[in-house]
Amino acid sequence: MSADTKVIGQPLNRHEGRAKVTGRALYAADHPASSVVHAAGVMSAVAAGEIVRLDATAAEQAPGVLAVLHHGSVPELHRIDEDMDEGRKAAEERPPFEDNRIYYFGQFVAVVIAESLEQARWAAQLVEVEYRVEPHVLTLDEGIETHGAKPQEDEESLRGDPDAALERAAVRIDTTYTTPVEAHCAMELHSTLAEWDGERLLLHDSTQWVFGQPRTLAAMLGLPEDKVIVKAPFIGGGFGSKLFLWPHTVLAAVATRMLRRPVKFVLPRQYHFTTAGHRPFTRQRIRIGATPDGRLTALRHDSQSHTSLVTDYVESCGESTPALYSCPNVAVTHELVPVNVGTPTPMRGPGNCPGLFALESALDELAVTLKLDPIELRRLNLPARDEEKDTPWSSNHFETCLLRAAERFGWSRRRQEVGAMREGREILGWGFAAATWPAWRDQADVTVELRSDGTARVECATQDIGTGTYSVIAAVVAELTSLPPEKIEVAIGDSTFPRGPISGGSMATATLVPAVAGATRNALHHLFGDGKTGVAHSAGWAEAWRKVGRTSVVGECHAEPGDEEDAFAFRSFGAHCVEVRWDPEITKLRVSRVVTVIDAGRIINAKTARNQVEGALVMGLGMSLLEETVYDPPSGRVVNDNLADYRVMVHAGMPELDVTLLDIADPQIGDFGAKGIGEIGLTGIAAAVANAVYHATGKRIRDLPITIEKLLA
Amino acid sequence: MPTALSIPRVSVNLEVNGTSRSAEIEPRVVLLDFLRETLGLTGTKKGCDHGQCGACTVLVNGRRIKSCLSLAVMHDGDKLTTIEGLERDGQLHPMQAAFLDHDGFQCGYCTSGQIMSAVALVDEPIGVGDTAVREAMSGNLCRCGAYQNICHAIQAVRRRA
Repeated sequence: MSADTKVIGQPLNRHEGRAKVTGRALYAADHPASSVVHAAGVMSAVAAGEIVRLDATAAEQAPGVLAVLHHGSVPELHRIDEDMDEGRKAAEERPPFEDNRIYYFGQFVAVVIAESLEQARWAAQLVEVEYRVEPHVLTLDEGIETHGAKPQEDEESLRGDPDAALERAAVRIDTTYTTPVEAHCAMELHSTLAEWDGERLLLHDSTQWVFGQPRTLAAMLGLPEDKVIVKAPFIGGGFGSKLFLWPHTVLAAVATRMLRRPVKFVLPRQYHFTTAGHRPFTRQRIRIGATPDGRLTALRHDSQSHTSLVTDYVESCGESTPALYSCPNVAVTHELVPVNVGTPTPMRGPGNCPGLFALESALDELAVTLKLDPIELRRLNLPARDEEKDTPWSSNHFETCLLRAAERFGWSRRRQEVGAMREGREILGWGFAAATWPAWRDQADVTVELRSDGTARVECATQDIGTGTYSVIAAVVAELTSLPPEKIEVAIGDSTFPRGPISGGSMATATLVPAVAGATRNALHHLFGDGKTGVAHSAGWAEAWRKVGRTSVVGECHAEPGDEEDAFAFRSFGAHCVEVRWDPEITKLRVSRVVTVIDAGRIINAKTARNQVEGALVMGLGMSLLEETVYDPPSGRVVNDNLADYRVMVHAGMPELDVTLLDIADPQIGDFGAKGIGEIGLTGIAAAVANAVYHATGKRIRDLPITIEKLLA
Repeated sequence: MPTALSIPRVSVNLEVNGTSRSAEIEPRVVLLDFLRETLGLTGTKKGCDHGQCGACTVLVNGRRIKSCLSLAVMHDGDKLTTIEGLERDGQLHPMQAAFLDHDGFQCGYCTSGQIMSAVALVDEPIGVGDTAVREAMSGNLCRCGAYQNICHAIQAVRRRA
């Protein structure tokens, strides 16, 4: 914690924590609504084709059923004119039921609305659907053969002449890495409770974007944008899956308009694997040229990922490749391949997560080839400036991260030879990988009301998906006013509040802190007058209230990035050291220790920030060892569409986590110098595990997850 | 093919958080849905509906169960405790306070189930170490990954108990 702040940087308890430990926090499906009715989906049972007959007669006659929605039975829905700045982006461009085509297994073909959940679920089984089945494609190679691979010019980066430099290089690495489809698995099921009062639609919705969700939905429904309001005071995790509008939310809205009854749609877990997004499959070829002493001379990162047949989603695998290391000759390309699966969507650390698995594994392979220490290899190639953007860094403490991680881990005791470190039956493997994430900042409007009774209220149409946004906002107001944090009401998760940032891309904190600080200073200015400053409960506090003759003052602030965006490169950095233990006699592999050091600028709340990074590591260990969505080739169905068969980290698998946050303010990003922290911890960790596995076993696993089967192969 | 059918309701009487509750319900109503939709006790969460995630954990006669895996009518006469029943006179249960102090959550969605599981675990003969806690808490998933803090919270309560 920095010495010049009193509240910022403190490990305070989570601002909204009491509501969460008492069960009083209301998530989307928890809001009471009188005479609410329930929705249940009928999902396609084939991966490609056409609905030739849909008979809802039996379902419509079932007890309690109010309506069956399907293609042809719902009012027209509109494709939206996508514009993120205006708050419009749907996860799937195709509105539900637009046509009678089937693009993927588990696509909505009908929705039953009934008085009770049990009645809706039962009646959904009574809907008869007949398909004309067409051949489907699931893998990248099948997709390329049928649809071709679409080059993505926006993803390309080129400097120097990487192909010639590779040709000339003394040492070359040329390897290909694959990462599987991964599922977000936020604990809260995607839920929408929609109410229509005749002219206005109110949604309690699990969304990471209360600013954009109502605008997108209004456009799809053909309503004026001020006729849709979205509330989301609590969201049970999102990890990207709840960023953009999905079909179930649209269908809940359609149903409530048709029936004039509140409609609750809780998406069952299995449909999350088909119609609520996933991280797409990636295949990445990395080519590196280097000098014998370990300086990079050429770097090529050519990647492919899949998308659906209804929307292009690009997994930007090479996002950081041109910036993370110094190298004169760099090329990044990406190709997109449509297949018959649901639409992919950003999943925590999109692009860089699979991207750094490939890049940081390849660098480890280079270190092995050069017989060079992997951390030393990175130190030899640190970028003094962003060589892609060709600007100085706003701040860059990458080397400090490397050195601090090595020191805390005890890296100097590492023996370079494979399998050389033993403890009893177990072989220890020590692996290293870097972490990075862009330090983005967006625009925000914030209102702060200070009251003479010593309380304050902040309003902003942002949301907290578990990332600590409530705590961050409260800390900034408390810092500047000296009000106790618990006296500050943080009102977020409501689209009627001033425009706030999306909870995505790790940019909410960097976006909000300057806006909250500005609004607070404006409010203080209204209270204490020109040229004076003051804080709550200071000597002048009571007198200032008497002078203004009011019981509350309101400060507003619009804050957005300025010229510094062009003058500097903004990026966060980190370093992971991982220890695995390999018992070859019983083929048991476990991760026993993770040391991670992160430079994410100034830390606003040490407790919630550390939790973010620890949580990212936990998800990253799942990515390394467990997670993979499996499609059944003949049907296109997700085989493991549940939380037992899609394996995420459970408590028993936990290693010791040692997280250090450097907590150094970025001087360019705005008040207090906070960069985002939500995603960086997940980048690079899978490579660190893979590199540790190689160090223990001599097996280089280039295809995630690292399963026992692959180690035995 | 299944056919439409009308299901007669049956009465269920049970004690929830010290209050006796009775209702006429269809026998197919799952306990979790009964708590949330019929009684309005929405602190208990649905994360999978398959007994795989633990978000719906409640205590039945003092033992932890996953409420999505049993029917409400199976609990006629039982004593249930949900997250709403842990506070006493506005004071947090020690396990709730420990989760708050150790930041044993992020989004908070699995938290009711984690806390109910942890409350029951304190009375279970599982051994004293962190490893025992981790094993005994592995029926409760936390996708935010707050496991290390959850373990610290539970151990803090067990040490004081």
